Amino acid sequence: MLAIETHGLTRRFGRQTAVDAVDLAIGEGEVFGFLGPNGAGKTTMIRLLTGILRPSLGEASVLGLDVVREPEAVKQRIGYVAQAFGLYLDLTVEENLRFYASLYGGADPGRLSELIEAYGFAEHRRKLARDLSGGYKTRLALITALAHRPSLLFLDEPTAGVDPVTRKELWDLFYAMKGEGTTLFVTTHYMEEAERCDRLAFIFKGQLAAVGTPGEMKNLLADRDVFEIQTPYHPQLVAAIRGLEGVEADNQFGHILRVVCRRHPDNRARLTHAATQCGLDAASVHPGTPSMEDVFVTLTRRGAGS
Amino acid sequence: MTPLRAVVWKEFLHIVRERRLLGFIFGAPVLLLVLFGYALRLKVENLPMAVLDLDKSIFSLQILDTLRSEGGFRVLEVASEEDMRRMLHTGEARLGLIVPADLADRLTRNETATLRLLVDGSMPTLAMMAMYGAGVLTGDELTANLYFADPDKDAPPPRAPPIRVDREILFNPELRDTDFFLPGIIGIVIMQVTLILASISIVREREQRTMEQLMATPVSRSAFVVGKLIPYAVISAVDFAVVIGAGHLLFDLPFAGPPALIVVLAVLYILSLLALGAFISSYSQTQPQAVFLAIFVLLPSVLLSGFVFPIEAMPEWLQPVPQFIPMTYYLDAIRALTLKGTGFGIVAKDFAALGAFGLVFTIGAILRFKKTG
Repeated sequence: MLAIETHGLTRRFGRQTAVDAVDLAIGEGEVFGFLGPNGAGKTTMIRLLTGILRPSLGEASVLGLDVVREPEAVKQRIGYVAQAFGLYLDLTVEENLRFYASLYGGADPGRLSELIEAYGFAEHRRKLARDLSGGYKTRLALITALAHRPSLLFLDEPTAGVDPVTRKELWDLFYAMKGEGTTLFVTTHYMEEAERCDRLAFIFKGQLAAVGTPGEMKNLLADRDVFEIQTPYHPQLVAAIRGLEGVEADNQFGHILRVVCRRHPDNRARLTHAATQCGLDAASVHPGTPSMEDVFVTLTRRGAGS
Repeated sequence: MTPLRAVVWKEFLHIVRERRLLGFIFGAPVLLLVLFGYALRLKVENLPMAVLDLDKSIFSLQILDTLRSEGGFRVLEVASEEDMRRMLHTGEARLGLIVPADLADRLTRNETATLRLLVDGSMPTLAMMAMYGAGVLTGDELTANLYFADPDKDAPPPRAPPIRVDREILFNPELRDTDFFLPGIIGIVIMQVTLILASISIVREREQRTMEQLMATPVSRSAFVVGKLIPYAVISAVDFAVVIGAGHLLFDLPFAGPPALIVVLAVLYILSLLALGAFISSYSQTQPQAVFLAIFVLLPSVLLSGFVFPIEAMPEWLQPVPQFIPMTYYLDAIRALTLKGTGFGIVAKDFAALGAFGLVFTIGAILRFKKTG
């Protein structure tokens, strides 16, 4: 059985189509990354799949249940960590946990203490949620969604605004959950997180632009040339490069400008010419390997252009 | 815990954690009751009265004594009318009384003596109360002593009343009974707390963005709405008991009717207000919006429920409006129960109306709360 399956899933808000005819199939036990720029439809997708938003068209089944017909049955079986977390800041760690667990039909005290211990809340159980650090707030939101042992967990940008070390710790927790057989549906716009997923989907303007493993995603650029130009941010160079034939994306990383072009034997010569015209050394241009970020930027530019 | 109990428990925690809110819930009603209660009964106690005594007889002393003891005035003796007018002007005195030099003469001749009363009319209500207090001047207790005591028992009864008071400001007040206001005041202070608490209850979840999370849980809509209202129902009931008790202790509010009926009335009134508040909350996007809506309901409830202006005296087109205000039915019933001491038969229709309000708005609030948008 698939954990999530959608056919032509569509949601319109007035004239705007937030999610546009999405077909998706996610297997049980997968860590599935849902990527896209802000406003692409990630959160709307999650709200459709968790049964808090009705689709305008199409169908979706979650854990074998029809979300449109049985949204409440779906809610009983899934966990959801919304972007705003839904924590009560004036309640303690323990109270938040007990409250949410009870909404699913009773809190098993053993399960609650187990979660409190396992997620590092042993010393913070009587602390108000307000007084927790950002990372611990995320953890608390996680365990409030886990108390009823859901087999599918939706996480909407769980690591937004969290420092890299905490982010890594959170991902370790996600893998631990996967290890227990939980399917995870995670939205993010951090590229290094995308690399950690079993499979990914990229959504842009409500439409799925690509689905696959991280390797498959990078293969989308297999017929592209990627170059790195050694330079600090250089506006004239960027303008010149964007005017070149075959250039699909450019992205500045510190002292490196990454350029993605449609494959052509003259690519390097054209870029070198542009670089020297802008006063750079010819040796500053050299080939690179496609990164997830290149895929992200290229797909976004392509979507924006079409 | 069942989901319903979990919502009730959590809502209680919110209340306990918010100290200032607790002050508002329990402090404000009693404070307002005391303020309004005194404001609307305002006795002329210690009201300053300047007195120019031109007679200085045993009779005039008697009048001054009566003003102090019976009227409760603070008597300030002055030497001239000029002084008196100055004190009235500055507010040092609210009233001025001029006792004529011929007081003793006239009284001993069984003729009417005329006192002049000057009233500061700048605050009409105060003036009204002051003149009411000055009524002791013509009251039986004083005048009975002012007749010249004729040693001959067969002497003819006096032909004229001994004292006449000429007022400088004419004002003919129609005094209202404080008891008439008090049950209404209790209703208003309870409504203020109950309606506002309920009206921010649901919208707060929306504003703090916990609603999104709740929508994704299997909690039922009725467990959510009813669970959120139960703690406020308990608190409002305690509040009502405190306020009506204070009204009894401070202002001698009578309980003429069966106490059990007053309890039932309180419960129905509170439920109708909570339901109305929850309904307001379900229509609001932010807490300020909800509070504005609550006040929008509060003011007409005070002014159009018959609390101040009798409904019969309103223009015909306006008369249906009070029928959509819970306070109207509460007032009708509480006045009957506390003042007149009527039984269930008279207030049954009020109870039914309040119950209907509670039911309709609770269902409305539950239906407005959508778990799938």
